[in-house]
Amino acid sequence: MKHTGHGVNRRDFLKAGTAAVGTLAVGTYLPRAWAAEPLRVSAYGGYFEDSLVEYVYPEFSKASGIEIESVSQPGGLGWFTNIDTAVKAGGAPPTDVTMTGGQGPLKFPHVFQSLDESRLRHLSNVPDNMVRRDDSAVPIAVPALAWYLILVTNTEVFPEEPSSWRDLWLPKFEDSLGIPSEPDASYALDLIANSWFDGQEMLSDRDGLMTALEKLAELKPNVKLWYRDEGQFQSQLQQGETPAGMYYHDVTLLAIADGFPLRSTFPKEGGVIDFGSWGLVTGSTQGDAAHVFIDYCCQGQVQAEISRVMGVAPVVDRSHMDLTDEEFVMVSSDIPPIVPLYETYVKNGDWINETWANMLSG
Amino acid sequence: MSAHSRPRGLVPHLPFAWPALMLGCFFLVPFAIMVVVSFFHRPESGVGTYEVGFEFTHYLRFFSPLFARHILITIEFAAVAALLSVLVGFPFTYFLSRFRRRPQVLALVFILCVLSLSEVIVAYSWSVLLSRSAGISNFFVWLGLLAKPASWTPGYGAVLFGLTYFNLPFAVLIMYPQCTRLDTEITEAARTLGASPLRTFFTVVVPMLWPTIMTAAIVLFVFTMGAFVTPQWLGRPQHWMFAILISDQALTRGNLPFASALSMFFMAITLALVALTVRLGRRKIER
Repeated sequence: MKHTGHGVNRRDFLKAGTAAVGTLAVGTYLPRAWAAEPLRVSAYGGYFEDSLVEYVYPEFSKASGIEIESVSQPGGLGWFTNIDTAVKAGGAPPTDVTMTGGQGPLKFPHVFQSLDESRLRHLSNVPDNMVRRDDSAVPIAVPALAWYLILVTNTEVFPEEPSSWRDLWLPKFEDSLGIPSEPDASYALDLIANSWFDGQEMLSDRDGLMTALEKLAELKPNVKLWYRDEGQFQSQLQQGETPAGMYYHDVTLLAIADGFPLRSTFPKEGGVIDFGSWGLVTGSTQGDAAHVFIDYCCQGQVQAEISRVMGVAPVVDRSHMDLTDEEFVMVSSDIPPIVPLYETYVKNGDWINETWANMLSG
Repeated sequence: MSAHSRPRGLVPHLPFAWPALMLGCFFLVPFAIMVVVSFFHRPESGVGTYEVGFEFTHYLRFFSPLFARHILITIEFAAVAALLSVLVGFPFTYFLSRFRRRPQVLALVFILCVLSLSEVIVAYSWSVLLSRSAGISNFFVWLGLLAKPASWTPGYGAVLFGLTYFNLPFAVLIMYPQCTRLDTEITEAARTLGASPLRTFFTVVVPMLWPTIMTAAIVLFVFTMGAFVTPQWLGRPQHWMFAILISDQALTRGNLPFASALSMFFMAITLALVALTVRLGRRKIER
């Protein structure tokens, strides 16, 4: 892990203070004798899980003495249905700590155990609107890493950089966009509410949702690919077949690094942030170790390292980290992000899905 | 087998116990669970997946233009792709079976190789081949047949192409055994009596192998009904087949009751269509 402190001025040194204390605090966990059983942590299989296994878990084990057993987790809510079924049947859950998107803890609150805030010393590093709490304000899911949906364009086809999400509706993009097919998974409605209307409040009722869905449907002549699988868009984007659209900032930068003529734009309304959080699964007996792990991931230094090695956006404020300007721009932006209104998607998900499916294939 | 030679008693039937047990555990029991779950309640609050209950809500949802549209396009794709595969596959298989042994084996090995490709690879390859940037339209431009490269994916034709390509090796392998068994003396007799090769093919070979052709068409139809990756990669939203809708509900939305009901409905439609085809096929043979 890289060191902080060298070549920094007093201001930076003070800022780095929190992170430094964090690193020291890890030391105090060490004397505890941990159970022989490793802590099972599940994350989305593929790039995420591989990177966590390679870079993050070994550092954590070194710092805490807790071994981690990695579990592959599929995307989508089906995973929580499985845990739910296992726990209801009185069986052991398939993991102790699970990764979850914004909708998981809202849709399956009984799958998540309450976390003890007093044992999460670094939780204050994380913006409070990203921490998921239950009805009595007890945290049940703590963010660990984030990714941005941004506006991507092929520089050869579109030499001029767009600046707003509204540009996607321009006639020049006719039959050339790739847009995720499910609005309640892509959060396209959140960006519509922020760029075309007065904000996300309209998404809390069905009239407002309908207005946003109709706006999204106006995009149909410009969309060549309503993608259900991000890999599908990636190949089309790189070939120039579908030269623009809504995509992930980190994957776009990886493609640019590979020499593809693409550009990632944070529109002036902000990129849409989505994040993975850690939650402690009901039925797990590894609560102590899980708290240590979740707290570890909230430390500024750990967040900075995760951003550097995985290319994902950090979930703590920039002041807690030692990321250089170049490193920060690679993963994030100073433009405030659009945070999806997860509650509305849990409550109206089935309705949005069917209404949109009708509009899309009609 | 005649009736009196059938094995009697428990012991001769024991070998069947194992497959029966497997079929029971891994097909009948999950199927029964699916039936039960399809009547469960989906909470309106969106919290949780389902609650135990008994209601027809999920079945009533079928009566919407959305599901009618998708079931129709699914049947259309499955039927047309099965038909095209048999139309291309049957003459190919028949003439292959008339070849000498060595070219036959080589061709079959090649077909088996194609079979080893997964649906994902096939769909991806076609999405590249039909693209504007790297596709075959560039070749047609070079030949002077097209003015500029065209993008043929995603679209109806692309889905049909992908499905037919994927079906073709299956069509050949299903029809090959019967084709080789067709006695050459029969076609020779037709030729001796003055029929042209084309006439022999249509008036002798096709009627004799009609049951085989029908079997291949039915198997491929059922097989294609469940296509998932090809329509997703090569089609636009209006071309998404039913399996995509089911997977959306089960995996993305975690709506198991509705996904189960959709599967039941889908299975009923498929079985009904197969029964209809078999009946029509039989009538033709009787005639």
